[in-house]
Amino acid sequence: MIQEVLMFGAILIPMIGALIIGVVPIFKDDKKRNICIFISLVLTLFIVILNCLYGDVSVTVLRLSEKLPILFKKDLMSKWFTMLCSFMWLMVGVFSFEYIKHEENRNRFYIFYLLTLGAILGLGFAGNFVTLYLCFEFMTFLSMPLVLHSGTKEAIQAAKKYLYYSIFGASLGLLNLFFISYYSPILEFLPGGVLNNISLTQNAHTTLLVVSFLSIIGFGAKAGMFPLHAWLPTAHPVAPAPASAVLSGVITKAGVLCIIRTVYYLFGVDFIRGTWVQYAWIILALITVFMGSMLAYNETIFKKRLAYSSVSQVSYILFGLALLNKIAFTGAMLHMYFHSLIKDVLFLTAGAIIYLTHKTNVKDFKAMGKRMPIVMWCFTIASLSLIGIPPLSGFISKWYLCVGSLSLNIQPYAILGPIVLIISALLTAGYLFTITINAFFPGNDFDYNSLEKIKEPKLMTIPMIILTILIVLFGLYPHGLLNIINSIVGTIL
Amino acid sequence: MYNFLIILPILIPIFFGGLIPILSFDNNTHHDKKREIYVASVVIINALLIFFLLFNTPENSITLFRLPGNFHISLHIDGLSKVFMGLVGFLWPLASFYAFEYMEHSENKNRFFCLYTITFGITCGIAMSANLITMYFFYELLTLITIPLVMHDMNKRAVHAGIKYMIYSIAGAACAFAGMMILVGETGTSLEFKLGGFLNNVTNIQPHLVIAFFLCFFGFGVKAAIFPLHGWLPSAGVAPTPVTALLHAVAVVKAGVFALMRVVYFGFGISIFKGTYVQYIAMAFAIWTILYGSSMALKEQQIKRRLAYSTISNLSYIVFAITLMSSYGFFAAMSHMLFHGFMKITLFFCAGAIMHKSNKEYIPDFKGFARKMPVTFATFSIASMALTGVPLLCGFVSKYNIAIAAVRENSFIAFVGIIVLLISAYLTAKYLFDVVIKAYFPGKDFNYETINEVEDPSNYMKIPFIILCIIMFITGIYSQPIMNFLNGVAGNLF
Repeated sequence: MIQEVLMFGAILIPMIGALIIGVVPIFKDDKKRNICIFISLVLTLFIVILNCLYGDVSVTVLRLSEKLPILFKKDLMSKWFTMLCSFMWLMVGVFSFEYIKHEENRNRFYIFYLLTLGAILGLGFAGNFVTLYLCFEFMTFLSMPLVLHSGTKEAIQAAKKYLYYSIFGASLGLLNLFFISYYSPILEFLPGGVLNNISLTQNAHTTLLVVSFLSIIGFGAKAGMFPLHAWLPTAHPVAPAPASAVLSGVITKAGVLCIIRTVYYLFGVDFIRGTWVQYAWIILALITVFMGSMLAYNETIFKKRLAYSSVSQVSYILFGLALLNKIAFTGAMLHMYFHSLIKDVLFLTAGAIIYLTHKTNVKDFKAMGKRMPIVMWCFTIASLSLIGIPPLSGFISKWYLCVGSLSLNIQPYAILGPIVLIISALLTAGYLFTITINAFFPGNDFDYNSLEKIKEPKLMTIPMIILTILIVLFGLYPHGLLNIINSIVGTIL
Repeated sequence: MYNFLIILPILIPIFFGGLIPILSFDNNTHHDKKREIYVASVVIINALLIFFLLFNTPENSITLFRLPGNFHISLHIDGLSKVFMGLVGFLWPLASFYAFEYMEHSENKNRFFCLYTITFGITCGIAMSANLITMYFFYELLTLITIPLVMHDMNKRAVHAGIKYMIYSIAGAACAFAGMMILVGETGTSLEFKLGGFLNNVTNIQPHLVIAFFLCFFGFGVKAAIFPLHGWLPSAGVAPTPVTALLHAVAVVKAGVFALMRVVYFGFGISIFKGTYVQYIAMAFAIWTILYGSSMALKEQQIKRRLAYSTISNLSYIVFAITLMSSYGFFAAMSHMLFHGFMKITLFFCAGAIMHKSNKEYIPDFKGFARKMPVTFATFSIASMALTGVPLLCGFVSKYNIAIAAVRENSFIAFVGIIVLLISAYLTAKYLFDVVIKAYFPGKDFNYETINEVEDPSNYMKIPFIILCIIMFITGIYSQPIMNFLNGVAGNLF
């Protein structure tokens, strides 16, 4: 009983928090509202941690019709994912208390912020495809107001783009539901897939492969994979920084989770391994990795650069998943965490810079390191980690990805992967390091007297520092995470 | 023993509706009230009677009168009749209440409510027809009686739309009639409906049967708005909204798909054309219409025309399911027929409320309305989500059924159909959420002063909204009883 309560508690508490903020007039006041939000975020994190300590559980909530049960299930994968979401949401939430002061409609922002958390936790706990689709759609609808928050024309256009891309992707993903539920009697996610003991005709096999490919592309929209990546660089720059942080750090990972569920829990790796679907997927992921880095390198608007960087980095994860072997999967799972931490730090620094100096173009960041040292130091460490310099965390995940790729026995994909990853790492260094250098070493002719130091608000720096510390710590001691991943890998590969 | 009761749902509205002009309600508030009570009681009594009949169905059919030859006009209630009657009987009272407010400033209310009530009876007649001849008879009556409703405003556009509607419908019915005659010649029976059809002993496809099928398919397909015979539907949107909502989202267009179901599953039968080019051509038209309707809806800026194109697209979902020619397809078609009725009438009601309260009909003018009309736009958003196919609302269940029916077919064109369904779902999201986003998020510099006079409608309109939302939600989260019933109608598939 306690387990079920805990699982639904995690989904419901943020929603209740949103309801309270929306309905009770006392919380119109900024300070009281922030306390309420903080409490609900902490409570959610706490309950998610409790969830992780308890074992697995599965509950059918209702049946839409005979073969459409809404089922929530807790397994290792959902623990892994929900932990990430609730932690990131808390950190970004704390940051946003300060940042949001210069925006209007603050209550609306927080209502949707909390509701999205509820939906994404529901996505984590979804036990079958209908539930996953349901939560996915709601996550899209509820996070759209975060994107259009500022209410400018571009923001509304960007939000629409985001909405339509996501809905289109989800519709492609829905093909899964139709075809799998016809061929297989099992209606829930199963480690290793539900097609194992089913004999398929040649035609059915081909059809299912097409379906799996289309749904990878479809959910890839959320994860920013080529060819449905275009919403990301449009939506992230216009959204408020906390929103872009969770969009890029966590919601793109929701797309990754959907792909994991599709490939590893519905079709099963054996079904896809060695088929054209796997190769096409690898190629698409690598194209995205390269293209994202290139575009980021050419971009000078800071948040847009970070958005392109997300396009590239999330496809590292997808590349790892596409290789369908243990080592690469480990790398992908690690990168899911590390990229989330790193990208959130980067977006938070972008937010802090915009909030404190109103500068958005990287060319204006000269001597920024002298003006706001804490922010820029966090930025630097996170960049180093994203490039993949040991002993920071990004190195470990990329190491696993490369080793995983090389252990694949199919040329040229095995060798192509590491090459693209290394080129992309160079480009990453190119687009992030230039900022650092510019910020700390403005050059001899720079007039230091004109420099005024900016007071960095504690609410902004503390979450950044915590995240940066984690980036370093996970790089030094990844064993805890590796153990968890090993037990996940054990069930599905 | 209740046998004679079958005829009452047809006679009551026709008789009492016909009395309205004679009772001479004048055009003033006092008489308005009286007329409202009168119409409401007729409609509600009839709806109650229908629901009584749904649960206590007389077994036998009754014959009203015999025509020369082997033909007779007779009525019978079977499973499919129940589905259609239940839908109509449930929605008609809601639409009537809605009409009371919508029509308050309009002229010729007597004529309007007279015809509006009579249409109820005729629609029930279509639902309860026991054979093709009877259905054809009521089908023609439906066309004739609804033309004045479409023309109600009597301005140039309305008259033009009415004439267009008439030409399309009569031509369609003529085609269907020709098709019927070929069938009569082939079978020599009176074309009584029975599940499986009356062409059981025909094995090879003969050309005249193919011609008969297409004549019937496109003939009845006019009301189901199959491309290229859809042109009347968007034009007919000039009618007052209660008419558009009820007739062009539920009664008339659903009569079209109902007739197609009768023709395919109870007439020609599913075995003879299945897997032949005949089926593929029919499917191709349905699939093309789905895409065409959705794309045109996206282009259209007038709200009612947009919804009309959306209806065209969604009707072809049903037609697509029908042309799968399998029991499961039949089942899916019925479920979408029901649920689309709920969703589309809600959307039309909302559109009507907006037009009634603000006198604006173009979507770019709806900016910021959601704050002024919260109930209307909450309803609109829920219905949009339902039509897009978000789970927990009814549209998801019926679209799922259609897709599953198509997957079961295992043929290439059926798979194309599924992909088109998904693309159309995406387009649906696009053309409906465009409205929702405009209304809720007008943008930063929007000045709410400019729309001060806009407000939510009164309870006559609001209560139907709320009831429909609840229905969409309940049928979305717990569709089991309805699905079991439809399953029984389609012949116990699972």
